[in-house]
Amino acid sequence: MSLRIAAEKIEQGRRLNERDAAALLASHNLAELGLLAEQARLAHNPEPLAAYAIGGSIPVASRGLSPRPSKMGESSPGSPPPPDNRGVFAPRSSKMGESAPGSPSGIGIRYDEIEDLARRLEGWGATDLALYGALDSEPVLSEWVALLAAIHAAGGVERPVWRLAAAEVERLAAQEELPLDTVIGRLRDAGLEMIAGEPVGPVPAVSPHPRLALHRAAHAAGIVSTAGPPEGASDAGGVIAHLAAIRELQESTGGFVAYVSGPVGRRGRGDVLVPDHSGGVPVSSFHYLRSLAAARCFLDNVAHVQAAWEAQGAKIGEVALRFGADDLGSTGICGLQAALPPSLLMPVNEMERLIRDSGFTPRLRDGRYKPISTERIAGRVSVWGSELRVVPQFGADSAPSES
Amino acid sequence: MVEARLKQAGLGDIFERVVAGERLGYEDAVRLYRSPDLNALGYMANLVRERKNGDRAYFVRNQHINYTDVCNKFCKFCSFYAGPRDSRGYTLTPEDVQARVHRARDFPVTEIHMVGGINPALPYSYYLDIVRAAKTARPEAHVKAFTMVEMAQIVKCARKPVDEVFADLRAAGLDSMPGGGAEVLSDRIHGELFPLKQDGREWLEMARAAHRAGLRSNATMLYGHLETPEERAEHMVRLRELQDETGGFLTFIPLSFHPENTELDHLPPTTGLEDLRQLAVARLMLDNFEHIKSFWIMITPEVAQASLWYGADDVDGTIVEYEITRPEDGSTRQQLTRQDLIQLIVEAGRRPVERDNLYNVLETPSLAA
Repeated sequence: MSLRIAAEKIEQGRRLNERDAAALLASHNLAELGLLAEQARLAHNPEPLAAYAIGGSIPVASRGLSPRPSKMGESSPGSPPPPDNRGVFAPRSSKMGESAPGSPSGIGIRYDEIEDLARRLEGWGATDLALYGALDSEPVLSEWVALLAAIHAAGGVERPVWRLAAAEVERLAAQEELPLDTVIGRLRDAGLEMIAGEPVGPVPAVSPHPRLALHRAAHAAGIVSTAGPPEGASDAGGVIAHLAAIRELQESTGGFVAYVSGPVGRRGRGDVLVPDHSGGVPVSSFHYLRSLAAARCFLDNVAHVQAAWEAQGAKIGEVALRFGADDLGSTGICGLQAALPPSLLMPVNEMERLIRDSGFTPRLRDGRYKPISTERIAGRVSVWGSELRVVPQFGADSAPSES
Repeated sequence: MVEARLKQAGLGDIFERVVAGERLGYEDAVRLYRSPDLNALGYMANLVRERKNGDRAYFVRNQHINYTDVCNKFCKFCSFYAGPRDSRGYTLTPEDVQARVHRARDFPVTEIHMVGGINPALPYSYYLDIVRAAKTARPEAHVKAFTMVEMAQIVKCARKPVDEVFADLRAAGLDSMPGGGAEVLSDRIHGELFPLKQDGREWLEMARAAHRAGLRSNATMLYGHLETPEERAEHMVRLRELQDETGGFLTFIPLSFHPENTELDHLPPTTGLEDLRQLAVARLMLDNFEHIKSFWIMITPEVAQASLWYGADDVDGTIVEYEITRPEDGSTRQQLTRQDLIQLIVEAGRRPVERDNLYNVLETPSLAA
């Protein structure tokens, strides 16, 4: 299929249809796709800027010391867990938090300890944090409500944006046997500002649906969200259907702040989506960059598109900034021990180096994709991990490096 | 729209010359190296790539043997060497080489790639013996051995004219030569990073001698350390000039610098954009080189896959043993299977072609059902 028609539409600022998207996803000329995506990017982000956030995802565990009583056929103590639709979890390579007492999986910050962590993270300069339920220790709805209220009350003027994983909201609705809008309403009243539609935390089994109902309910409640990549759809039809659904919902609600790109399709062992760089079959960078370009061109009503450096690696993550992404995502965060500062998966300086190397000027943002004044953290020493990582002085001092 | 984007990138004039098949100059190379417009570079490079090699993506099944890590050159960018007095250094005997080649007998290996450090204790006969050992163990394989740097040492040991040394090596079984050791053909970089090793003029002179002796060779450039865009451009022009004269270069391979465990470990690693830019500019500048190779073990399989649309027509194949740059730190797999490589190529919309060392087609495989 020729890209001529799609290229003309992009140049003229006209909307692409699904046939145009199919042409993009059938093309193999990566550089040409990249050029089209860069043109589409200009319509939303004409300045040569690329944003990033300081933060990452935090697993939260219930205070309960044993698995919760079964409501949905989950295991009662002593019996093996029944199969459910969560499938097999493939933890990412980063450390995702510390053990919650009694947690069978051993991962997660106890929900009643988050308030203290929130104050420290704010002090350290975190700007965007996404919460999800720790495996087999997910907090119940009342615990989430209490946690969000505490974070909201504890936060200062410069508090980071706290987002909650869409998969967690869905799980809560199912567990409590409540309608989505009821659950979302309670979370909003407790202080929830935003829902993360992209995969957060250990990669779950694919969602059986694009969570449109959840996003629609969230937007109706005044909560904005990010749209995630197609989960499990590796063929063009699936990708197009996913993008079309997002665009249509955005047309009526305007509640998507960004589209977060990710690995495309199922790769690796069995049916687990494994972004794997240490063994097994690698996730295809070709498919990723092509689908990213198609997303930027097609989603003409979504302001921001985020690269997936954690899943694709830093090299392809940077290249993604030349395929329509205007955002490099979060630094990632790990080692959330109570006493010590956590570590960043990618230091701030490295995020900025990659952005400059790609030809853009780095801009710090919050979880709502709003730029943050450099004065907020300029001069503040952020201690991440065991090494002092000085948050750089922004503005005039941050001249682009020689290429 | 593409032409408009290329003009916006300030590369419209270069694009016109690429389309017309005209040679680009030194100043063009500098502009290309400085341009952040990756896709503009890639689009142009792909035009040349397809003009020369269509949709083919070549790979070869090779075995790497590093016969010694003892080296007296102390290059600042190297993490591989052991000094001549370092007890941790190793040197394989000809019997060891033969055993290693024999060990891989059950694997279909087309090419044996042998390089090593500059070990001053090794006599001239050693170099002939290891070539013979490899050839004896696997007569059907192509033996590609000794960079121009090693050749300088071999000639020194031989105390014979260089053309006689090449004749001896060919008689022992040497079939072609790798492209390493060129680093950057710049006096400044030579003085800063590898003053004890041959300089650019000497490297080119040795390559000229190899080509005159009937041996084809590859060429490389090590990028991502201290070199400037101007020095990179100069490197391209000098290689191209020699190729105009001898026609002896087979393939150009940009090599990304890895700072860990070197004297330059304060430098950051190369980015994906830089890796792709290097391949694209090489394809545009080296109009008299038929092939540009992407070395996946250095830039990651993911970038190597994308590079098939940014100028590369060759992806280095399965590697049985490789020791020089990437110790097993878990950050990169040491080996892709043949099927992985084919899948990587096919997914990118290219046609995999298994080749011999001279790019004769051995097989055009497809994905297994």
